[in-house]
Amino acid sequence: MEQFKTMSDIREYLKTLEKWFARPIVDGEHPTLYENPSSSRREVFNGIQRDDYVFSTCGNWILPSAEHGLSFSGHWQHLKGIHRMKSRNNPGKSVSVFWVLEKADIPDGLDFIVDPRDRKKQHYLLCAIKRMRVEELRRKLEWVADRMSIIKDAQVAL
Amino acid sequence: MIIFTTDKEVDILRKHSSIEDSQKLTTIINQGVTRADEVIFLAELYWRIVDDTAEQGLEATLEKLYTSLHIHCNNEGYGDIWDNAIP
Repeated sequence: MEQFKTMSDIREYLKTLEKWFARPIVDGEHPTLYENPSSSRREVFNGIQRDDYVFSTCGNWILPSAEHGLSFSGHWQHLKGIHRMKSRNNPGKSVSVFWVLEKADIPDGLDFIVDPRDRKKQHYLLCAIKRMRVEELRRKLEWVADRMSIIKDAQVAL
Repeated sequence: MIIFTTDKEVDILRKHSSIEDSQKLTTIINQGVTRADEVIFLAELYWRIVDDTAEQGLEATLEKLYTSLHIHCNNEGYGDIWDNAIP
């Protein structure tokens, strides 16, 4: 595990990597699932935000969409802003950066697709590109999380 | 026009903007940013919301909202101004 004192250190480190996708995560939270017990079933189901993916009418299936998916930063500028938001919105807690390389073995049925709104290609969605059961998507997101590297930012310093 | 992914993003912007600022906010949402001071206005509003809603469980919405505003400002050529307003 890499330890960095400032976000600038992280920036320099990420520059040395190939294409990467990253998510800042508050200490204690899961890198790809939402396990907050205060979230209602209407908002989060099986650890998946309802807004993030297209659920079937019956609620048991995830439908493919290139416009929906778990949010990932693909550029330092976007990552910095999300990291700062999570740090300020969770005072006293550290925020780590979880990241995965583009060439990493993403499970079948998922793919990183650039946000269709983003002409600068800084924001990506981990999209479902095949129809799958909700439990299957959860297992795939857990699989991705298990393969993510961590940049620990205990100081939350800038 | 700023493209949001959920109504919740717009709702939180409106809820936290003052009566005096609401018309300006509506104009920017509908027409998009066209000047630097509009980017600063959005950034100041966004970061005030982040501080005012600390530990209220709104992080997922705030993440989507940040991304929508970040993408819009970048697309319109105001990425540096948006980034420099990060506190």
